[in-house]
Amino acid sequence: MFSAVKNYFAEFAVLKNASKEFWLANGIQFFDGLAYFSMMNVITLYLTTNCGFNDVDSGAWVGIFTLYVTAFVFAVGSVCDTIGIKKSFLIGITLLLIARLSFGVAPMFLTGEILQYTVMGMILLMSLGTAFMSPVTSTAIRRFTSLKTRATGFNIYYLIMNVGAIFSGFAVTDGLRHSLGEVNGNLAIMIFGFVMSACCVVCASAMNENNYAEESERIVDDGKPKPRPLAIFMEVWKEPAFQKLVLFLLLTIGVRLVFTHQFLVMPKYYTRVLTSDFDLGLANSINPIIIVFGLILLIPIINRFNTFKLIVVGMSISAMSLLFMAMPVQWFLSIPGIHNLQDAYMFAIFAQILVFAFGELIFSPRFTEYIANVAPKEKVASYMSLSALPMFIAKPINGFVSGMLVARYSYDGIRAKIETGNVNYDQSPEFMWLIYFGLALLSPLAVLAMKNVLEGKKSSESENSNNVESAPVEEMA
Amino acid sequence: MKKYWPIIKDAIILLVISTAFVTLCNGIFRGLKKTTESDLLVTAINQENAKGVQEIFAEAALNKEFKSNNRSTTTLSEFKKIRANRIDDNGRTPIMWLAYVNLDDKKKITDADSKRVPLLETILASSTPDINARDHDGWSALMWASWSGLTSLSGKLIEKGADVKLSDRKGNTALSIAAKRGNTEIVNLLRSQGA
Repeated sequence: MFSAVKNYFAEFAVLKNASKEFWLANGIQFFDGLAYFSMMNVITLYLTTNCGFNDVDSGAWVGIFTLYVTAFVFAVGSVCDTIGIKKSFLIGITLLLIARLSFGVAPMFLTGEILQYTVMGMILLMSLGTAFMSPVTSTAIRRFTSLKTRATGFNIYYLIMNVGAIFSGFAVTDGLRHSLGEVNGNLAIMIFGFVMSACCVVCASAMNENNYAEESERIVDDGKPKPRPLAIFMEVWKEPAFQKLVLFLLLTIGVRLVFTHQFLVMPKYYTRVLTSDFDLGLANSINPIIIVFGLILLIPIINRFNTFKLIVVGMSISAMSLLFMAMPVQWFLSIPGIHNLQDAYMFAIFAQILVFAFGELIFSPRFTEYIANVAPKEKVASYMSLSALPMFIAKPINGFVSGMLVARYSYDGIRAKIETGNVNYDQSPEFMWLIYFGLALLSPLAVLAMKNVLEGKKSSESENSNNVESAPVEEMA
Repeated sequence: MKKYWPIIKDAIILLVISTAFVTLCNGIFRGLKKTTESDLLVTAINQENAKGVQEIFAEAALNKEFKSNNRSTTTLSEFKKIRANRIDDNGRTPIMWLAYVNLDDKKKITDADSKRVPLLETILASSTPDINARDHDGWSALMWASWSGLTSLSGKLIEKGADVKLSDRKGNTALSIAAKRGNTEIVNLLRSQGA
């Protein structure tokens, strides 16, 4: 175990000569990650408690936010080829500065419908800003690393992103909510996001975008239009390989949507079945902690197995994790050490988080590998960029459905009714999780049923899976 | 500008597609489940925002809301009563929300208790809420306060006419709820009031 950790960090030595720009790009990634993840931890609570959205509307608007992020990523994904990295960063960060500051201060001055319309407008603005960040950061990391250091550069990028997610939970979210209370804590988290965006402006301003690590990659403006995701889509949508990929991605939506529960459903669920001052940031920090350590310790072992099997096994484990929260909570009372419903819910929640993260660790990196396997060699990048398409359809639906389920099965005050025997299983939060469990379980079952159609070329053709360039920001959003 | 045009065009196309899709989802899901619009009063109560509660019950604000909402022949005084008794999807009135906090920390509960009593007084001064209204499970505001551990608020509700003997559909009373939660001060208070 020690040697795995040592090997992982020893690899970073190649970056000792990396340019200032590389570290500035990672700085932006860290500050923006802190702001993004801490905001996502409380966004549904903020919309309800601070802005007066009901449960259905808050779920729907978070779904709408994630939809527009995906849409804008497709639109502006190639923007830095046209206007440059620095300008792209500054545009994205400025939009986020405005949106985050507005989130923080608008509830202090506005009320009712005016506040709600302002927040809706800011959600759209924030989705555009968020859409700039991930593709531009990826482009920056690629530009500021040489061919030799690129894989390690992306490993650092991925590590820093997860470290940001970890700190945003227990340090920022819980820290501010505990010290200022839930209502003011939520506002402080939004203002903290504004401050982090200001730090990003400093980093972006100090960046020299022409400092290419690989001189051969310098972009020469030949006047020809660059391929854009929509154009690529029009080009590949009739290809059988692409259709196979879309089928695979559609079949796996059920389990991949569980990622979005972390910010759509969990915050309200935690604060309603437990207490409103529950450490939801800490609970949301556990997943990235496991992912960081898991990637270091387990990936070398996991890589020995077949991609398709790992996807099915990983997805099954992740889907099964929901069973902990779907079981009647009273059943846990027979476990030694669990004395009351509070303990029982804590057990169910932490068991789900641990088991889900383990499954995610197995299947999530394999997705990139599967796409690389299915895509024709010369079109891997295009297929990768289009792989978010099926989630585009699922995101708003998930937002509306989650809002409705929370309103019906996990409404504020349900803990009181559970404790006094007023809630039957079919009216309980456990039933809501049973519905989600059923949806998640469909994914591995459907993938197994379609095995012959989906299994492509052998995994030997795949890219190195440690080269994970996909961002959890995109995964979550 | 020419080089930006393809990006702007893509953004507009995707924005239109996304918006159309959101509108479609909204239509479908709103049709599936009718939910009560959020109540500004409940939001202000949950924020323990005394100024917000006062603003809602200010004469001018009530008059404005009365004029914009009134489709029947109710009078302004009747509207004030309706306003204070507006229920949500679970049959809970603003007074029940006022009597609810989901905390285990005694210090935080005491702090919430001290902030909520003045809010109740503000509402009672401007309107006539039904203190003994029941939600869909048969819970009254006093039951919510008993579960939440809000001792002063429970006392205030009793003073304003809350019935200490009401029970929910499972037979729980304010006294049994307070006892189950270990809120001994409220148990003593209820006993002293004949519960």
